[in-house]
Amino acid sequence: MDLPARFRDRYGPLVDDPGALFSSLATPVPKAFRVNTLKATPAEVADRFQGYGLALRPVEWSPEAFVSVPEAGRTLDHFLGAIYLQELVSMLPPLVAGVSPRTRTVIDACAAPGSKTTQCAALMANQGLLVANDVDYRRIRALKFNLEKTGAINTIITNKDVRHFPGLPADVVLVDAPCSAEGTFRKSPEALATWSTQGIARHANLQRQLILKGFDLLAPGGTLVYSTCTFAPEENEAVIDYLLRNRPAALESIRLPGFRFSPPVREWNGRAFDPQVRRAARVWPHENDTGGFFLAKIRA
Amino acid sequence: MTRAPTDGLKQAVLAYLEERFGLDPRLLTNLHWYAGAKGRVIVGPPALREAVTIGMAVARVQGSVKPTTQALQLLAASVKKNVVDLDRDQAAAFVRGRDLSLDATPLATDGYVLVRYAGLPLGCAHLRGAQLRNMLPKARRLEVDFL
Repeated sequence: MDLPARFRDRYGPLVDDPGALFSSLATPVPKAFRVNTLKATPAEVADRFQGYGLALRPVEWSPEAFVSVPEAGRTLDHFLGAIYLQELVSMLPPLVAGVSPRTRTVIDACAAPGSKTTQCAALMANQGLLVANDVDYRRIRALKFNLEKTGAINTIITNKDVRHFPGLPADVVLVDAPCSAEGTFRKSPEALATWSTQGIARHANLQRQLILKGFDLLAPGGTLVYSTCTFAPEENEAVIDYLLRNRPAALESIRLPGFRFSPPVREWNGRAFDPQVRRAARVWPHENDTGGFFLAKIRA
Repeated sequence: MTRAPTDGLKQAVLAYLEERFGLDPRLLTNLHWYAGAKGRVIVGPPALREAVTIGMAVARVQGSVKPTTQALQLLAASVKKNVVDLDRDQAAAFVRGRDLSLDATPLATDGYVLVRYAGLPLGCAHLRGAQLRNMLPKARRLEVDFL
């Protein structure tokens, strides 16, 4: 695959091994799923897949996550809602946020089609209150379908522009922001062929508003996890920097034993970011054989 | 879009689930109850004014009570009666959305049943004699090749 030269110039200098990044982008991202613990245990699902003759590979950083095969979509487990087909990096925000049965209120601000919401429901053991919001009414149907299929009952679906979301003090807010999705090129090579930096500024503008609102929805001591699936520093570190300049937010280091995170970008286009931004994390596709991702964990 | 159900409606659903499936009402009484569109009776978390949908529909009440597939799947471990167990070929046909003619009249009585395969809850069907009518929501039906 031909990577646009401007893409190489823009992102090559951000990694230790640009060649590894670029060749990784030319390969498809591995299929993966998460066991829905509201309906099954990882051991039960692993046993059944062995019976089907389908290969599974566990990952070190989550007992529920498995690297899988395309046939997983034609298994009884998929029908039952015992598994949820989900790319590995998409599972990171609820894990990094530390969602658990003790978490009383979670707001998933950009929820559809529900990968992270259904994961939160399972992590909460169907307790507490889980608000799944999406601004796009056309995507609410898929969100509702996935919540029903996975047996999530502690949920409310809302269809608001998060910027106008009512005050509801939340222990955890997830802002998995709409982004230029450069990290998903392994899923859609045609998107890479037509890559440009045009959408970046528009996304960054919305992301700055979303992260402020996400922070404002937190109860005292609550946790906001901001994430994107893109490489552009304008949509990642610069958005965190903007939050730090406008709110009394504190960044926490991101830890998930067994997963390889990379340091964020410290400066971009000649401007240095707030030193706290160093606690955010990047996920480069070649380091864990996943899509690209960015995460920041923020404490109110 | 949702409102509180009448106490009679809630009690009718709980009584049906207990009588038909042996489900202990305490499994659902600590949840919040709502009445939705088209006779849906819903359980879920406390209400929020901005909600478009809430929780999970347990049943539809239009004259009689019809349990939902998602509720029977979630409560399957506590279901004590009116279960129909299928073999592998029957299960593959059922999850695709087919109705089935069973070889023998099952132990269940006529009415809604929980359909299982290998102990796993496939969902809701309506039994009449040896005829099993598929009640899986259309969107849930799936071509399953591995079971």
